Amino acid sequence: MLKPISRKTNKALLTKLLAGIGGLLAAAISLGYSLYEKRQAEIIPQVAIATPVDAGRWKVSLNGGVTGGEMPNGSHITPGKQAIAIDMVLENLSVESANSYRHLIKLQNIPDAPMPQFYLMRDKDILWDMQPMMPEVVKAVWQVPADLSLPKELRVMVEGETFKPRDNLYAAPGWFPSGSVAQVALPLAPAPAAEARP
Amino acid sequence: MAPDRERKLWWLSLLSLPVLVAAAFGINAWRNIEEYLRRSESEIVTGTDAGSLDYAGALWRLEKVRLIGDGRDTATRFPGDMRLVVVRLVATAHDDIGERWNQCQVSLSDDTGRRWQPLDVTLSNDISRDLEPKVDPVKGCGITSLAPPKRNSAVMIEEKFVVPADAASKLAVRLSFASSRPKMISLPLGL
Amino acid sequence: MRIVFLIIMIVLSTVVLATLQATTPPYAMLTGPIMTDGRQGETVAATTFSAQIKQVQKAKTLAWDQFGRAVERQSSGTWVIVSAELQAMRETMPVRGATIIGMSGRLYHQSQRAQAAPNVLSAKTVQPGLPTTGIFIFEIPEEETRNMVLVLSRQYGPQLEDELHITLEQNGLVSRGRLEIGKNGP
Repeated sequence: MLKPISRKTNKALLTKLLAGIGGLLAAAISLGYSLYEKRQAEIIPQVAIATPVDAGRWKVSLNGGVTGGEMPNGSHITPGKQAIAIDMVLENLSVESANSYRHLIKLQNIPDAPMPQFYLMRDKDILWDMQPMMPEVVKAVWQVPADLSLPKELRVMVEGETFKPRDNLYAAPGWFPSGSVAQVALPLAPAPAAEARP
Repeated sequence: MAPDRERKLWWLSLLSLPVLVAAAFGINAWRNIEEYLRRSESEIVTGTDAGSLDYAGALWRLEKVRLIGDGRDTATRFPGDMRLVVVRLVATAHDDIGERWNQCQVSLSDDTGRRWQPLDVTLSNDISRDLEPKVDPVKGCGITSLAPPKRNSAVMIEEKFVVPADAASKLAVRLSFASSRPKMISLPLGL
Repeated sequence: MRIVFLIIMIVLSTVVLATLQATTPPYAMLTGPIMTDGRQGETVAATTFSAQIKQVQKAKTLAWDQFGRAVERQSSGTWVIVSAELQAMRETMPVRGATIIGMSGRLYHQSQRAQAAPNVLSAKTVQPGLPTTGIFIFEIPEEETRNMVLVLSRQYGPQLEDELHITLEQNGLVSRGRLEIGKNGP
């Protein structure tokens, strides 16, 4: 009586195993792939000043950092705060006009930096959309507390984005953050004396 | 016997599948359609008293209608077909209104179903000051509905619209509040 | 015999299912705009609104008056100014979405640097029965100004709403050095 029962149990077990192997394989492959991706060391290349950096959707070349001074459109800095400004050349590499450059540049050695305000230096006014394939000289301004002691050199991280023609939720095209692309060390200088206004 | 019954059950299940899918889809869609109809303006409240309608706790009537731009009301003449219609309504509350006056929608519609939305508050106030410089502009429905009249007191509402001249004679003003939709009132302007 | 039949059925259903999956329109297209095509000069009409493009001009510099001050805008590419007449058919509506598809297929939204210019159509509301004229201003690289298609909609990213695609004319597109925009257009 024992042998037939155990053969049946074996068969049942084998069937269950075969049925589940597809799911197990999928899970294992998925896990292995994500582990493999993480395994490659995260080295972020150091880039010199005024070198164009390809960040997927944006191409940016940082030219220099200044502190103090007025905003390019003439508005004053909030009392109790000082301004850190970075001059750069920004270009939209994507297929459509976009204004998502706010997350492009991150200040590493300024704690709690707020969102920067971007200015188009051609108009000396606030920057709105950037048109594709039209590079412009742009200034990004951070307003930090006036009592914060500023370092001699700004360490800036450039964040990249990749394009997915079909995302995971809506199968719609979109740009998604893909981690840091480059690191730049910008010397920070005080603003030159303001030109006399006519 | 048993396999025969089993086969019948199998066929029955297969055939009932499209019916069940259609039913699931239909029930879900019907709920959404019902909600959409409830939010839209589809039932017109008809009046008992000539020119006065009972809606959302108040009696509504048309107080004054002005057609500006053809030189007859004021000397202003607008280019082409453009006319300005100023509509004033008076609502006399006969109940405690409470929160019933919410999300007011006012529009003009003609006999073909075209709809004209009122001008925004800033432009409307500027025009009021041009027309009657010494008087405070009468508020529109959106602002008035934030402070509805108490029982037995009345309030005046004014809205301005830009319409073509050929539609001016066929216009009726429509008003509805979110809590009373799908009911709405419609008063012909009589221009 | 049965096994052969079974294998054929499996392969056939795999092919059918793969085809169905590959040809399903994506969600963005199913809930996307309802497009109507046309050419410059004719009235291109959708259900809710229609447009007729009258003239397209190019300029290197734009100039207008803002609160009494003269404003100038220059571009590294060229300014494209499209004069149009819009009509609403059903209800009062704004037409805020204006994009030009350049020769390479890139989408250039209307320029926000020139939004304060007089007579810009995206700041106006179109009333049914009253045609509204005005301009749309774009900033485009010089090489993209061939085979332009103007795309108009009530707002950017229309979902189940009308969108007009109007092919702009190739010939006779003259470029000026400086274009002054007055209250009644360029």
